[in-house]
Amino acid sequence: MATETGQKKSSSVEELLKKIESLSLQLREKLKSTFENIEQIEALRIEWVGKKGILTEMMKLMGGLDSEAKPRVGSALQSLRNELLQFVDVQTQKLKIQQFESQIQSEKIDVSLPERRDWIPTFVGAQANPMSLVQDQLVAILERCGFLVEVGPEVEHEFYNFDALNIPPNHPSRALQDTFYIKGRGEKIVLRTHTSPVQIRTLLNSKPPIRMICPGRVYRSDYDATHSPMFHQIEGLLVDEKIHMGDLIGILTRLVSEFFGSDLKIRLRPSFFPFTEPSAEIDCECPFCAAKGCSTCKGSGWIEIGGSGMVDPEVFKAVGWDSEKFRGFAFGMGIERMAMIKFGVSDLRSFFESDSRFISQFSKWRNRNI
Amino acid sequence: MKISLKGLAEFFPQLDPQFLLQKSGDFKRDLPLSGIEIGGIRNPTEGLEKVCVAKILEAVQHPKADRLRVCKVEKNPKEEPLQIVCGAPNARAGIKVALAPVGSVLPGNFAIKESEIRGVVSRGMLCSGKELGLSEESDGILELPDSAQVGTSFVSTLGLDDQIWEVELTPDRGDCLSHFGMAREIGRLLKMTPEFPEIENIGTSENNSEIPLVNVEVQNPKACKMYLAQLFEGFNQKPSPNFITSKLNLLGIRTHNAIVDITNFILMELGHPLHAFDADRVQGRILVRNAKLGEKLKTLDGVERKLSVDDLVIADSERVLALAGVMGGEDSAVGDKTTRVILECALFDPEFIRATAKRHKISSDSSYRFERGVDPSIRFKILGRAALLFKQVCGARRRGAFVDVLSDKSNKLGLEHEINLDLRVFRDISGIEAQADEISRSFQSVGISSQVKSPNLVRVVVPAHRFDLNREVDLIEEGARLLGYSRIPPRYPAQVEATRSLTRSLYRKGRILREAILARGLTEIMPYAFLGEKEIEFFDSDFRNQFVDLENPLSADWATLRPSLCFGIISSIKNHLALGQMRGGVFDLGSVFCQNPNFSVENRDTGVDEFLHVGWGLFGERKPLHWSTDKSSKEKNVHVDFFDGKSLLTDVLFELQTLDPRTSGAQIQSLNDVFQNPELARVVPAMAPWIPLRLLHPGKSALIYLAGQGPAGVQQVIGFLGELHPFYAGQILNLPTGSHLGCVLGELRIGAAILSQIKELNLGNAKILQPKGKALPQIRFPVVERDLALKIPRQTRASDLDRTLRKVGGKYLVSLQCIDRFENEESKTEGQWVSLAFRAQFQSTEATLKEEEISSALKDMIEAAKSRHQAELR
Repeated sequence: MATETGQKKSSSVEELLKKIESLSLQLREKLKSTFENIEQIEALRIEWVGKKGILTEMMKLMGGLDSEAKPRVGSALQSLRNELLQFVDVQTQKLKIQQFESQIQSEKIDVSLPERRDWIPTFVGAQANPMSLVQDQLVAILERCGFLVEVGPEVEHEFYNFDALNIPPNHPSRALQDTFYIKGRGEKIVLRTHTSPVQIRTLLNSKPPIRMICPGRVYRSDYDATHSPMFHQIEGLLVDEKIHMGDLIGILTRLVSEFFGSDLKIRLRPSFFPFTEPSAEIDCECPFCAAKGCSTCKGSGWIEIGGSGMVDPEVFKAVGWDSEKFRGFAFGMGIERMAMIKFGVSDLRSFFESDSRFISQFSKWRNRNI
Repeated sequence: MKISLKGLAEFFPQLDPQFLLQKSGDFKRDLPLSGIEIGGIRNPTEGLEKVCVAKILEAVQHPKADRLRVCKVEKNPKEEPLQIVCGAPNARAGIKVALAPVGSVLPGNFAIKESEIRGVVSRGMLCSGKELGLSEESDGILELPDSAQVGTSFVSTLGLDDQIWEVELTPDRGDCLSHFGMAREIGRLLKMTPEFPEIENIGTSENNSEIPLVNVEVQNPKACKMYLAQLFEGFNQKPSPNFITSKLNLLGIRTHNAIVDITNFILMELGHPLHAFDADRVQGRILVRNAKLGEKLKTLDGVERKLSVDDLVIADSERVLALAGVMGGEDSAVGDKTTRVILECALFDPEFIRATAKRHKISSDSSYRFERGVDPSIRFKILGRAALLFKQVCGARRRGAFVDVLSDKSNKLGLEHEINLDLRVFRDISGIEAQADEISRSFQSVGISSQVKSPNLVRVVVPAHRFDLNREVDLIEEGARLLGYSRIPPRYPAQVEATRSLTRSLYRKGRILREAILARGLTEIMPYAFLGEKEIEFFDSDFRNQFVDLENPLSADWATLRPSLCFGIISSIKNHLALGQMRGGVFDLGSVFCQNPNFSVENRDTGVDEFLHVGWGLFGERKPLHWSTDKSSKEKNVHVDFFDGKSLLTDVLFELQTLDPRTSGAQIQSLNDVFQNPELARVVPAMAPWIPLRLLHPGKSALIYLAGQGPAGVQQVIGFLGELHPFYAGQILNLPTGSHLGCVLGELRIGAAILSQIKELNLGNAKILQPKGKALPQIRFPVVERDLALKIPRQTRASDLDRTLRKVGGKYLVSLQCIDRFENEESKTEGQWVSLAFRAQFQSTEATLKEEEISSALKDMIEAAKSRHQAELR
């Protein structure tokens, strides 16, 4: 071919394209026939695009074409080839599933027959996830203090997750929480970034006095050894007429002492949360070294376990409560963090990797505070 | 934010800087107790302890290398000079340099040893700024001023004995975002007031008699509260002096030229962002306006940015010069040849800055501060500080008057405001018992003036830099912070009659179901609630739009909120297999999500329905090998199947039925039968688009539904149970080709959407979670057993026969169990029958049963089986 003249070349290009055209008609006709098994499909594939297949042979002719003709012929051949390969894929998959059809029919069972009860577990004891185990313990302690559980949805409207909690749009504290937004809703609908929206829902639906807790899943778009895109929090809210920060310390002292199983002191440290004023970080005495200083508490004797504060008047205003008359405190902590401290687990991600061997070891801690 | 301790010391001139360094431990302990967190402390002199000042006496060409020099270096006048090979182009005789002697270890664990370089012995290293950890780049060794004493410590000569704190501030404390701001807090601990640094007195707007040479027009006064500009001329640019570069280096800020370095220096020192424009590149007047459609700006980071009409920009008559408060433009930036500068000292609205910074994904030192508050009241001092440093460092002078454009003509910008603090409210909220004068003194300790008006009233004058103090309750926090939260007296709140929480029953519902499965020994897992398209493919694509996608997923594999728990369970099983745990059982209890098209964002609806689901999966061998297992038996390593999974379904349904009687009629229907029935095949997928039908083995799976009004008697599909489709099982569990693994999955939806359940609970319509009825009395007469084998047509469901037998078995029939099922090849193909054996138990509450009572009941059962199911007695 390479030795032929330019004249002949261009005519051969037209010829080639014509040939491809007729081949494509021929192929489409073939594809209309029914293929009963995978062997037939495979034969079709070999006939057209195998090592000596019709299209493969055509491809070989392209070497002699000039740079102008090459892409024209090439793309025509390629699209024909793709068409065939796609057909082969789809049909093969279909036939493979069909092959299972007879197996499925022969294996058909009467699902109404009674069940069998002799599956034997691998591990001893109830295999509760450490997250629900810790959550149960915290809930049990707080229920004894008169707090009742409330629940709320995990997909939230920004009103509950931000606005009513005194976190206006474009406020730096909104940017602090790496929020997941639901597609197609602007930035109005979010995966809740904390359990605090349940406070708002509860305030809107109840009358004072309130003692509520809300354990649950929360989401933030962050992922490494100390951040998980999904984690758990527990939140407490107490609203009454004569409540001050000392009551907060009292409740938290009860909580950590029962949870860690020894008398531990609570220390509040000034901080900032938009929905509390005054706000405080919660430190508790290190349960590992009796506050003497160790590697867990980095020598300080204290471990940070959560945030807290007195309900900000803006929050009461948002839900229509009288902030002159009522005072309240709120606190929240990460359940993973409490678990990491209690069990000495250093990689947060272990809790979400769903490995039953890892989870099975926690059964000895179960029901010890309930 | 990084803070240099020596930088802080400059505001307390009467103090020895060393004193602050010694007190550093106390600060680290005490500052967090007043709300200022110190994340880390870095000692910049680490590794430089042995580096000393030395002098190059002689520098000659290395005999074998063009680029190297052999230097004679004096380290100690009394000692023999050291021979050191050096590659720096600026190594020459007469200069003073930093010498790292043999045995020192520089930052980055770089140990200096005696070595031979191309045949010449070298005893030490002459260091560059980079090698000393002082700068990011350097083009030669560091040259020290001639005044430096040979042999003295490099660290003390350059004043590097410092500590760098990483201060972690809460977003309300914008006032602390500078060394001066932090000095106010440190001053409280030291019982001293920080002194403002030296400035050039530039006067104020009132006594400004010269004519300004800069023309400024603010077109968006809402976004730009204040714009102060001043022209400077006569810059003779030399490199920034050491006190500026070393400070900026320590704080991690790149140095550029003296003008930019000075603006950054003042930003770090006093917290007010400044921007310097090359005055020769500004055409006409300065405009503060919104960007116009299609305008572009190449910012200092080299990025060409398309501007939004919501962006606030600084422009001249021709073009955009800077993204206001966020980042300057390359075009108007000052360079090494700049001789005239327009200096901007402005105040931009936090919201505008935040929106722009977010839109363009820039967080600059400037935008960070504007977002958190910048104090306009000290703007003339800031300008004065810049004027002083421009004069001292660059020899530049102010030309003409400054321009001070205020959007609020009444000039209230940056004024102090007064708030009364009622001590009774203070005590009520904080619990701290404190007298008025004590509280007043504590405010004064951080420069907030206050006055005791009466024993219960303190009048506080809040300075302009305290953006966080606007209400009485803010002062309560500030007072408590300054007195110390340690003074809050712990107490236990009085127990009151608690309000009744109804959603508690929703929480308990989940707990009850969890306990039921835990009792069976399955492991509770908590996989992430996100799926990717790979998993989504197993659901009916007609209903793809019912799933809930994330706008900003962490990855494409986590882009959709799970509509079902089953893929979390599958991935957990896959992980177990990958780790060689070849049998087990896992379950998950949690929310799944789907779209609810009837919603209004205005009504605070989310348009997403959330349901509580419980799902479980068993895989691998039914039982672990036991010492008593008959090793020759076929039962030895049988894998789990549908019926093992079904026992968990029974457990969950049992609990569910006591919680919600509506679920007591839950039915089970073979998936194959559903597919064979055209009507069901059409409507069922739409009733439960969350069930991944393609994933299930049609012959060994079932749908769980509530019977009632609906197509083919199906009112609601509430779950599924089944083995994996043999075509997908290997692929989805990543099994080796040809291997088999028994795996059965089940999942149930628990009740209506969570929010509608809460709503119902709040309306008081919910029932407390207690089962109905009384317990039956104990029966004191024996049980009699009879077995019964029946041959029935293959298509007859065992449960239908069971139901018939129970119905007619009479009042003494207390239990009926299918105890055998028999079929063989012949029965399958020709006779189309199976044989089922039942064991019936009879018992009476009144007497021991007589033989005829039992045989009569059996007879009725056989008759009914024959007439209703074409059964034959075997």
